[in-house]
Amino acid sequence: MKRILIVDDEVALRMLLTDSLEDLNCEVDEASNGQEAYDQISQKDYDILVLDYMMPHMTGIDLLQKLEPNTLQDATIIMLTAKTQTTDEQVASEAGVDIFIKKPFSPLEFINLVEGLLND
Amino acid sequence: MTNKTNRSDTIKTRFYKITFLSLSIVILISAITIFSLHSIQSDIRQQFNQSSAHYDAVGQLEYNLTQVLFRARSYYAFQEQTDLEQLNRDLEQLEESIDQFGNLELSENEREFYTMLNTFYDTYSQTLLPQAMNYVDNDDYASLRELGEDGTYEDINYFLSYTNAVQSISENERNSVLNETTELFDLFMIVFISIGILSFSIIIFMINRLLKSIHQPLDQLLVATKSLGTEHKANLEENFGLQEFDTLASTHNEMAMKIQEKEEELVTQNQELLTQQEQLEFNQEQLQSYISEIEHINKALDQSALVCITDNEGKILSVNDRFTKTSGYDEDELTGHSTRILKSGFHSANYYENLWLTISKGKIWNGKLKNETKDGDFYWIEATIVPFIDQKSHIYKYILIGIDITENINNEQQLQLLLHETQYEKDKSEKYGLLNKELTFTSDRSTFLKQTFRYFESIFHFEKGLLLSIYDNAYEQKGFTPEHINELLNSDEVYSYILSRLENESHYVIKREVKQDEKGVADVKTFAYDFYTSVKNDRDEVELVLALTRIGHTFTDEEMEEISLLMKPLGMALSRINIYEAVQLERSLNNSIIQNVNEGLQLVSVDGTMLQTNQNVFDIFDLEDDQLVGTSMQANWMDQLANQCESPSDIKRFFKTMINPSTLTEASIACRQSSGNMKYIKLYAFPIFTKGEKTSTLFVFRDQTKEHEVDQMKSELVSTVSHELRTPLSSVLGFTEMLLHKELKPEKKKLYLETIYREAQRLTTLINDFLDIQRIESGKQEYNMEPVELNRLIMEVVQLFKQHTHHTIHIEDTALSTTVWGDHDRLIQLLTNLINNAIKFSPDGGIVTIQIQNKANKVHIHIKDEGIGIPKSELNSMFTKFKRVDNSASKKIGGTGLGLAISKGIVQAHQGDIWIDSIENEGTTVSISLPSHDQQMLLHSSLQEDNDRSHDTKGTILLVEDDISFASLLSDSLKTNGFNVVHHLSAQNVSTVINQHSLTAIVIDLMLDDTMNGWELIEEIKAHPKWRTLPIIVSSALSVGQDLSEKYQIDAYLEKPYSPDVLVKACHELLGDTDNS
Repeated sequence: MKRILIVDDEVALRMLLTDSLEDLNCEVDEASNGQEAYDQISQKDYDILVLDYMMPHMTGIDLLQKLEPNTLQDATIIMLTAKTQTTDEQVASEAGVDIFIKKPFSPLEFINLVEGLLND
Repeated sequence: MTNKTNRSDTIKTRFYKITFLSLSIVILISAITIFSLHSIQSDIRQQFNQSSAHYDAVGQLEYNLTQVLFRARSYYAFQEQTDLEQLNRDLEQLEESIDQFGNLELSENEREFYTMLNTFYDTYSQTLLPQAMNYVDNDDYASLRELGEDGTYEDINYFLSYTNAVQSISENERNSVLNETTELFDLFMIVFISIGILSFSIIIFMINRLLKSIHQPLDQLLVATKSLGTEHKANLEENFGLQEFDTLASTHNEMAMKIQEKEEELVTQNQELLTQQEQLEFNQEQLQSYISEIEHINKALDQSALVCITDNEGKILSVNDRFTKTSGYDEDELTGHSTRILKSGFHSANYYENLWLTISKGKIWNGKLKNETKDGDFYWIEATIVPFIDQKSHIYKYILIGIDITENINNEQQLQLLLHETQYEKDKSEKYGLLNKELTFTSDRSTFLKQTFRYFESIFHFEKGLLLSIYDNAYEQKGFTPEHINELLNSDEVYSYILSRLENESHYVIKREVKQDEKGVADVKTFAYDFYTSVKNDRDEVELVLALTRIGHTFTDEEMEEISLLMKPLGMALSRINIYEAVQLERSLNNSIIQNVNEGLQLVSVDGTMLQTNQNVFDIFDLEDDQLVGTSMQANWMDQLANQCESPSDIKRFFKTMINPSTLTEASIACRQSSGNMKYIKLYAFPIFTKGEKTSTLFVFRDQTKEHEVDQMKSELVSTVSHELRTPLSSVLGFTEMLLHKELKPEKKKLYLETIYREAQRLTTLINDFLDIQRIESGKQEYNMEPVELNRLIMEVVQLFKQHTHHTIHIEDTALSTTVWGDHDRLIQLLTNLINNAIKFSPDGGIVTIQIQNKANKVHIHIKDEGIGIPKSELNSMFTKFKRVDNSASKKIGGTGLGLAISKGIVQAHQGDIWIDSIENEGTTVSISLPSHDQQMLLHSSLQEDNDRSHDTKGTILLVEDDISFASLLSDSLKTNGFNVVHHLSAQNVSTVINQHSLTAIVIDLMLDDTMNGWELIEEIKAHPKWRTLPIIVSSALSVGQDLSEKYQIDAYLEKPYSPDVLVKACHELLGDTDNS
């Protein structure tokens, strides 16, 4: 079973993301900030990382930069963000983000995306 | 010359050198000779000694041998014992002499002889002699004879002859040695003589050479001198190798050159002399003709000369015609009169005395005399007075011969006058030139006045003078007092008269009687002449007035004409000064414009030289004033500026291309100031054209830091707002989509809908807050200002938060007046915000205390919580938009981050202040202060001093009352009577309030609308061991029975409605203070 980690500081969004993935055959973990996510990634291997950009103390990008290289080599990194400037997207892809989703987003599309990734 | 001197020797050194060389050669040769002679001589002496020794040894040998033989024969003959003894002795001596001989250095022959001798001796002494002896003893003379015949004697004879031969040889040798010595001596003589000859010849040779080296230059000198005489050439090689000659040569050359020069001079002089001689000859011829002419003239002279003969006392005896003609007197009129009649009075008495002294001594007097004619005219004569002396040496008469030189004298005088005038004119023109030069370079009005006036002073004579500039009343003067000038300047009449005349006339003179103060000592009626002229500018307006005053004599027309003529160039110079001043003024105006515009301006020529710059450039680039001074070169100023910028190379490129731009171009620069602040500068380049040609570039630096910051803030705000809006929107849209498209359990559906509702609310708040802050910031927020009672307002707001059961909110009101001038709704918004924050950021509950105080004419409100607090580092930025303390604790709480910014906006609109004190994890106090609006309070300024009465009150009363109007009514009454009031709006959490204050009494409303009613609260208080003694006043609309009152030990019961005074009275009673009712 593939493992997915959802990192977002907004409780509502975490709930939305987790709930949307409940029908898929995967194990979903949640982290409410960068440090929590860092600890979880260090302990377990994840196949998909759903990451919010703007979080207090440690942004999503900070987290990716803090991680040891090769830690998430095989994982797909999806970044969710309310930041919409192309420069942000550039910075994100340089940091290793594979898929960039702008808020507000469609949970159904998100489900499809993750489903596709899981079946790969 | 010095080189030559170094190379060549003097004769003396040359002589010393030669002498030394010769002497050393002679000594050397002599030494060698003497040494060789000495060795030869010692050889010879040795040889001689040797042969002498041989000779002696052989002699001795011969003698001894003869002696032996003699003794032997004697013995043979007489057989005498003594002879035998003698023989033996002789034999010994012979042996000795043989040995002696053997010891000598021997030739081969001698060696042979010596061996033979030895053999003989041995034979003789061993054999022959004993045999002979034997024969003798036996008297056997026959045998003896036989023995003798056996050859013994032959041997002896041989030896004897040999010794003789040796002796003769030795003799010969000695002789030969002697000969050799003699020869040697001869040789020595020859050698010595030849050495002598050689030395002599060397000396001769050397001297010859020396002579030659002296002779040669002398010869050349001779030749040169000879050639000098004939060919006029003086080139003599100055390199003889002898200093004296070198010097001599150079001196010779110089001399020769000088001679040549002299010769040339002489030739020219000679030529001159020749011409002079010719002239002389010519003169002589002329003289001859003159002499003949003079004879003619003599006659004429007699005609023209004045002759007067007087007696020895000066009485005129006779005069000639010429004299009478000149003097105008008839001869009769003069004869018999003293010469005094002729005197003009021109000469001094001394002059005549001197004349008389000369002639009375018998000497001739020559001199000029000025005499007077009969008509009173004067004439000059060049006179010679000759005294006539008789045989007794007495002067008996004088004769005066004179030539009329009146015309000469007059001419001379005229010439003098002319010369003087010329000199004067020359001086004048020089001074004028000087003035002109000075005026050309003068751009200063006062210098101009000074120079010009000095010039007039030096050229023209006048007693008083004034040069006045009309426009600024500057002047230069002579002979005036300042009062005079002031008088003139202030006298419009005089002033306008002068001006009006000068406008039409180039100059004029006024003749007037001399004023008292101009008069001086002389008390005679004199006239003064005032001369006026003016300098006019190109618009024909009078610019300068020149007034000169002469006393006693007027100005000549020439002078006036001259002065007037001078006025024109002065006018031109003055116009130039005017233009210069105007330009200066304009320039300083331009400069002050340049210095005072907001932009930095910099003018750069096409070659990159910085021509001008203003202070703003320095300010913008954060450079000191002097950092660009003297750095007009392109590289310097450009580097200085560029180094201040973020990307120096770009800026430099811009500058370089822009120094030659064809059109207006611009660039943006970011430069970092030393304080670390960034400056954003817009840089424009404008080409400046002069007569169609580009001469320079004007760079304009516009400081756009503010605009840049605003832009930055705007885009940041947009980005933040967008982010803030998208986050709740994501939840709303996301959950809606889920609800619409997924089968969900009812609980889930409810949860989703709640979330959507909450997030949508959040969105609304955000949008409202955002609109609020926009309104407030843009100043579009309208405020309906009216007097607002803050304590009431606070109670109203607190009422709204009553539902937050786990927070205790109470109000400590110690302010006498809480009325402010404000907008009711905005203030509610402000207080709601702040109290909401206090509750929100103390998630674990706790007490929220609201203190209301009066301080220095202001109402202070402090809202204290016991919440999470704010880190110190964040305190300063708390009022920034979208600022939320970035930690997990605060993140959980959420919010728009606009609340405090809005609050600050509202407070500022009320001329108030807002500030925050906080300790992290302990709590936060947000304070606001608003100006009080209580007329009475403002009137009683004494109250302002000590409005906060919390420290000296009669006590603190807790009001538990949910009717805000009634509560504030009671509160106001209590406060005016010296009590502090703590409000609590519900029965909940009263205990915490009681804990915090030392209360005088508690006023409890029975009908509290909460879950807990008044009675329960009273029960709780009375049950508490500490609080049971606290006086309780019940305030209720209900009438309560006596039993209940007693049951709960209530101290006072006040039935609503009652007057607040009743409560005050009850409180006083509780304090035992019955006087104050």
